[in-house]
Amino acid sequence: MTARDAHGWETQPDIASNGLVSGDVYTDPAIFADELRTIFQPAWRLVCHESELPNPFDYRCFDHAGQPLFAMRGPDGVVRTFINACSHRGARLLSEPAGNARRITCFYHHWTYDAGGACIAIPRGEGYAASGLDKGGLGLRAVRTEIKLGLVFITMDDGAEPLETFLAGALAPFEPIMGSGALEIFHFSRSVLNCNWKAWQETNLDLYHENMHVVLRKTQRDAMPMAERQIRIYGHGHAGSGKMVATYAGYQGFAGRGSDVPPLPGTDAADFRFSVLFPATAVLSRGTVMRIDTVIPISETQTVLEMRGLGLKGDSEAERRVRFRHFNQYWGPMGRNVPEDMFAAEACDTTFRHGAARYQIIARDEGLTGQDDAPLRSFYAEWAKRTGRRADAPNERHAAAPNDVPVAL
Amino acid sequence: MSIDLPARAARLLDTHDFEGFLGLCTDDVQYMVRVWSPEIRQDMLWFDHDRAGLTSLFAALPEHVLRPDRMMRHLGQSLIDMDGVDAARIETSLAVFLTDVDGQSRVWAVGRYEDRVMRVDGQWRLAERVTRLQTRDLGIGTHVPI
Repeated sequence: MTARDAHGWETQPDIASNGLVSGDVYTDPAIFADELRTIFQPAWRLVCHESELPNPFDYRCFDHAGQPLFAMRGPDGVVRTFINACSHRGARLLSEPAGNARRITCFYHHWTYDAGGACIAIPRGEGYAASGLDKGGLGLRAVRTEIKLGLVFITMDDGAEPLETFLAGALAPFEPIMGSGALEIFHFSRSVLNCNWKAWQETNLDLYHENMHVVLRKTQRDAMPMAERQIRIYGHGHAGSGKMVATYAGYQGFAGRGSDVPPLPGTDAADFRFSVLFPATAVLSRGTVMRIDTVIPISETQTVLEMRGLGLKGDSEAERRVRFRHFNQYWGPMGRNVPEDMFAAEACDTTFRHGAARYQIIARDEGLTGQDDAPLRSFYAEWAKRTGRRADAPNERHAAAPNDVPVAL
Repeated sequence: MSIDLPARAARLLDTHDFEGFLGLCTDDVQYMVRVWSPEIRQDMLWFDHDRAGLTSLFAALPEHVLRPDRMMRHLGQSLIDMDGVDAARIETSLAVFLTDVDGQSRVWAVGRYEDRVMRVDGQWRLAERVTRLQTRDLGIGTHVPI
């Protein structure tokens, strides 16, 4: 056993190539630009929960792949999404993060649109007569929108596969919990992290880093040993678990968790499970509460993490307070678990950014149990397929067409 | 009338003297951090503990992975509304600075303390604190109450 010299440090470790991730994938601006184009433009991305748009004309604004968008529930109940830019001079139409607007009128020159995205009014329209301008052809840019289990997804690619095909069954574990429409949002937080977007998904895909968190060591490690946990690989880069078990008495102050509010439908207080959707969504439940992550890349070294909390509709004020407490015990910006994951994501990025670390190793193979790196290999296989780059050597392009690259776990 | 409890509490939290901080609290203290979300148009609870909850949190902190930078709570002039002789409500504006391991400082969070205090055995004690944060992006967050 010996430390490596400079050459040894730069040399790719002699293990299977699908067990390595080059540090360049976190730091190279050209790779990041490729990711926006090949991954984030076409992929389905979660933008909100439908309870954020409970009424006709409710809207939510968000950014996607650098573009401002908004989702709005129409008077027919359908949620539609549009690029948040006026057809006239391109001004951003809606500025508040959320609101309700029967008509969308641009503040700049008062061009007006309805909830279906049609341009319905242009001041002094007769002035355009000579140009042949027809407002019927000047509606907003509609963005494909589909809803699954109350989760609103969009894609910028009009030719993208249907959402159901894209999901490849990865949300099946959440059908009993979310399928009845009994949930609503109660938490939203947004954090700018100094790391690449993939670093956050890696924390969600790696079960065995729970040893880092004392709150997980004391509530999960003995309740369901890693060898008994089953990982599911769904294809398309998605991975997750079915039901796993936690016991809360082992962490001081958590005893009794779950006996104080009803659990979510189809689950119980001890149940926890997760699904991570490629590229940028994670869905987690923990008996009485759910957490939904949306990862939004800003640059190769900066990422926005949006975190949502869901609970039961119809909670009393006292029940909701308990549900907040359950959520905050693990998650949110002041939880026992999430700040530590954020710290870890930034800690890895620091070393890759300056070349101090060259590779991540994701080669552990333990038969799809809790300490297997298969979810990470699945994620990077999909990444390779979409970008046409190898994760272990991203500046060596595939000889094969990107879609021919086999998904090797 | 001057009640310096918010400043004393801030100093104790800044220095992680949690036992000292609990010494400033009543037995039935409630400590909450509330944040209004314009995104979901709801008031949110990001932190909510009674004395037992604070005690268990503080006891667990040495086992947690804590952010290495240090907080300094800078308080504005408190506005005090007496409620009789032995109770008061105190509102204090708050800015929290973070100083990283290299000694660089930055403003991390701003908000307001809404405290309810009581005089117990001649000493002012914190009975309830609601920290209302304006800042909604806390970066990697914190385990320690703001």
